[in-house]
Amino acid sequence: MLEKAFIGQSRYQVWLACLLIPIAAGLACYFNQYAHGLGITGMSRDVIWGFYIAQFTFLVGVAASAVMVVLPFYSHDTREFGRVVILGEFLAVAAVVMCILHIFVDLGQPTRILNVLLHPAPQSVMFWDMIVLNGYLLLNLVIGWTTLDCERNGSKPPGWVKPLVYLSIPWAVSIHTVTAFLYSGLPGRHLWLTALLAPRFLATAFAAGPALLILLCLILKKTAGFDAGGGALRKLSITVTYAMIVNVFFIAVEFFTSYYCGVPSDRQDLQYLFFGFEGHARMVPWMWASLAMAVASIPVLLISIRRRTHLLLAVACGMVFLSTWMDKGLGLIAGGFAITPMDTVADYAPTLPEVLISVGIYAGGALLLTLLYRIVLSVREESNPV
Amino acid sequence: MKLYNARYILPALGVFLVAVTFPVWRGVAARDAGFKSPPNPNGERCIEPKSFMRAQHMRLLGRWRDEVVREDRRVYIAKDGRAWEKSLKTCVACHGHTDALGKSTTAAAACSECHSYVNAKLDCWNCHHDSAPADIKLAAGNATANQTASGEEPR
Amino acid sequence: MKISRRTALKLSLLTGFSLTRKHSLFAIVASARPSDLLPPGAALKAGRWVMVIDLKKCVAAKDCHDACVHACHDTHNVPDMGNKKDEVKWIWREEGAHLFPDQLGEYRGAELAHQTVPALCNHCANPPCTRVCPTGATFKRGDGIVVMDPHRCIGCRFCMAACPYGSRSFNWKDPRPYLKKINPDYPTRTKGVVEKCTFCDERLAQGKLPACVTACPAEAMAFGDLKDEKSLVVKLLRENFSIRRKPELGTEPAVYYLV
Repeated sequence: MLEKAFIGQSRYQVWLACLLIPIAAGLACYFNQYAHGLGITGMSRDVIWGFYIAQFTFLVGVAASAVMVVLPFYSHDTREFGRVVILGEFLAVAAVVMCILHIFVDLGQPTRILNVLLHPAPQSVMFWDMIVLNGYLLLNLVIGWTTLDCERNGSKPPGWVKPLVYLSIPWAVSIHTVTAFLYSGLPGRHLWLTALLAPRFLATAFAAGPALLILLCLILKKTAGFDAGGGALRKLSITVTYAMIVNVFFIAVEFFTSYYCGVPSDRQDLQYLFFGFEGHARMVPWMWASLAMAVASIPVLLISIRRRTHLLLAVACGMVFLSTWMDKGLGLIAGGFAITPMDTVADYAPTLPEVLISVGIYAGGALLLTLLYRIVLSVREESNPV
Repeated sequence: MKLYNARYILPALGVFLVAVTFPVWRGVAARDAGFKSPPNPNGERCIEPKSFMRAQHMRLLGRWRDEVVREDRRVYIAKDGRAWEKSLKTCVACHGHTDALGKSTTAAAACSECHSYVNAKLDCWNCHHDSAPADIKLAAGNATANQTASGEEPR
Repeated sequence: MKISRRTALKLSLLTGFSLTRKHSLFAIVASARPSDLLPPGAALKAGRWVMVIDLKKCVAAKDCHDACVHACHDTHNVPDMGNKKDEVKWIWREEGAHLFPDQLGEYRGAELAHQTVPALCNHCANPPCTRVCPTGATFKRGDGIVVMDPHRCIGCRFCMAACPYGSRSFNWKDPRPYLKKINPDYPTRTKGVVEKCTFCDERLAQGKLPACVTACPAEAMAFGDLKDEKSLVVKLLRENFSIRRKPELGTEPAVYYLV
């Protein structure tokens, strides 16, 4: 089926070629970083993780969200998702690949990355994160490829696919829970020291991932005439709506505990993010924009579910995606490190090379996703010629 | 199962096999590269014989590294009974030293003669010092006997 | 692991010798600079190494010129990166208000809030950093020292995120250009690895106390074995009130501050 990846109209080839530009720029910046060290980024002794890990955290959520189509389709026979399950699985593949690449570029000694396998440390959450992420990548790749291949041949998938599918459902939840444990297992970082972090991660994931999937389906409709089916988009947007409602509720709950109890260590990080702390207010507009979009997206989603045209839905999904990207990415990371262990404030902003490397990874992920989706659509066209 | 185009494939396969085994049958693989041991202006005998060091120095250094940093076992008893501090300083004292004529070499240069030939990239010298101050003269058995108090085992 | 009888006898004699050394060592510490008096080479051993810093003596020494910091950084080739962003430090002077945010109060003890005192890795008994390291590059030794293996470190900085005290530094760039003078007896590090105070384990192996302890002109820093009832540190801790950084976190730091 790989041969189908590069066949397409000229604008498809142009799209692939255009993606190579940010990839090349990102690679060039990465060679510079590899030669000179991570000092070319905006990270510092106080803010030790930044843009790269922010993208990693957000993208793990996007990857986990595949479960929101897989679970209803396979366990509850939601036939409407029939055409989009494979898209969700391949989105998970591209997202996990981007996660792994973001971790790789964040390492100080990337050539030693195999030390994690050579010297396993089961007491470390990062060890388990590596296992579950790679396992999830493998699961989705195998399941997606096999089911697509069988669809092409017109046969039923072999018996061993079903157990793998059922395994991928709790596995999807686990990848994002383990990622949350990376943060909530650190005793000195009070923004993250909450049991609510893993549920918050899952809520934002189940909002952002399906929102992206809806947007991708709309794009595929415009560019390749792919019809996801009205039922699928409607059901997905219901998922996004309720996940977003839960997410906003979680944010409100965090505010209550922090401000009502008023324990300084608990309150300071939220105060830095939303109101500024001791004169440092860089993140304030960012966080309020994110929160405003999150709250505003809910009524827009509720209205758009009932409409037949998809413009409002696209706008709402864009707001959801952007809002969660801002909150769970830089908001989470910069907010967690801003109040240092010495009770001083450390600001962070990414540098241009840092952003270019990340954009290069996103472009690489987009390239992978494009190729995978191209294969899916070609297989579908083959079996159902228009 | 029929092999199509056998009259082209089989001779080509033969040519390939001859070409890929060239280093073996031409004797290139067995030939000594002819390079000398690392220069040793100090004239001191190495901690182990040349044949051992040639075959095992990388394993020895790897063991030293883990034993010193991770287990705090810092003394190496060589086969001939001399006690040495497990450190690159022990190597550098001879191989990265100024000789009697004032000519200096660095251990990095000494090691790289072989290492660049076999293309085994070294990053020891990114952190460790590859030359000893001129006034340091290394006596055999640079580990003082008291340092074996940590319960060192020979070899 | 074969050991000849001769070598075994040698080793047990020397072990016994060094063990007797250990007790008298700490009696000597109380009155003089120990590294001058120890026989060279007897490795120091302990059940749990701790450091006790007498804050009254420390702040009373007005012009020590950060002797502890310079001794440590010069001995261990710690670079001066020139800016706060890339800063690498193993021990530094920090305001009391920042080290003990909830413990000093506004009445007795408040004067310490604006004095600067040494801060370093606490070599906790229950360290969050060793728990999170994915390669075992940082780990806890039997004698309580939290060791950093810069050979295995992949530079993920998870340990830095986990440390609630901000004791660890990362080499954002190659440190060598930023070293004014180099101590040839100790390696440098390279870019991309984490580093921190090691309680001078290489000096302990040579029978010397940590560099900061010996350098302090006010002799405000004591170092010894918490498990040894006769040690100076136990004596100091029994006779004086001491605090540690962020005790509520359950990390059990090994650095005590006498107030």
